[in-house]
Amino acid sequence: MDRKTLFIGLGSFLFLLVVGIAVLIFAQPARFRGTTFAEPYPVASEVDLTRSDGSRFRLSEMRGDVVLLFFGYTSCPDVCPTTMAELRKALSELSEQDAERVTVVFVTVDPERDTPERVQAYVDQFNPAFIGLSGTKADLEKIWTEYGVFREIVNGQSAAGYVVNHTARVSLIDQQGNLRVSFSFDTPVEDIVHDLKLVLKS
Amino acid sequence: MKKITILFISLMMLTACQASKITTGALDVKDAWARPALSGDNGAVYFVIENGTAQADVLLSARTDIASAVELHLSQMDGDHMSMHQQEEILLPAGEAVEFSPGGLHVMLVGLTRKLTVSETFEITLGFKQAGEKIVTVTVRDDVNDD
Repeated sequence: MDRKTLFIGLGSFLFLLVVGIAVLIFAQPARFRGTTFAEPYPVASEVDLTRSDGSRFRLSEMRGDVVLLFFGYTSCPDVCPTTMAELRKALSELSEQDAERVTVVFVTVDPERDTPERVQAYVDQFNPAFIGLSGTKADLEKIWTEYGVFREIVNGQSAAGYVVNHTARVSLIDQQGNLRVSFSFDTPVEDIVHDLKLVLKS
Repeated sequence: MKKITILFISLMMLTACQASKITTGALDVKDAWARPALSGDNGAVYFVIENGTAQADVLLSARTDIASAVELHLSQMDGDHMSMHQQEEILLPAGEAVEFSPGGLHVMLVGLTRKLTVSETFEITLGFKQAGEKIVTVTVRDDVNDD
């Protein structure tokens, strides 16, 4: 082996070493596209309500799964069905195995009209695996407060009786039961899919 | 610099939009659709109204056989707070398109008298100040904005 070959070999090795170190230093960790919660991640407050079939739903028993939590009401014609359709679409973009590890939970902000049966029937249209929950106003008020859900009943001229103005944000709770990221109403489905994949990998 | 570029592009686009006024000479309702919904629940109808005439028009009313009432509504987001506002009428400027879309303007079907299933159609009648009444065929579909 002559000197020239040795130099080229050594040069290439050093070049690759420098590039490798640069990549390690400058590579950004994968980032969420939704609004992230800062570390230490807040533990998602308990949601403990009776389902339409009489069984008990406890958010704390969902550990190991990713939960997408949304607050809405079944008389809502626009924003709530749009959000549910988007979440169904997001789940359909995951592998079957991944999708099984994500649970969509819809909690009503309108217990006066929404029975557990009605909420479940409403989410069933989008995906029978979605969970629709209602309860007593006292139980729900505690949950709304803990999740910072704004809710306001507006009596107007509408034949719908009244409308409920409410927070339209989806919260993502990770496999450890921590709040990790949330999505505003206008979040593209692609970004929700991206963040779901990221949290499912961890 | 980036902001200035964005501003410049926005201005260009705005100019382009103004340049391409709709001049079909007619008022058209295009791409009417509704999301599936259960009987007894409320639904929403979306479409684009293109006012290709030379004068402004106003959408005054909507009615259908498949709901107990029909109303014009606007969903608005104030930060994360979604609110719905009933509209008396909706102005349709001459030469412009007004879009009814999820999270914005929509025709609210109050108390559906039947279930809306994907790919079926139903009719609604829209009442305009100038163009009079127009019967629009609405297709039920599962649309998600994919961008």
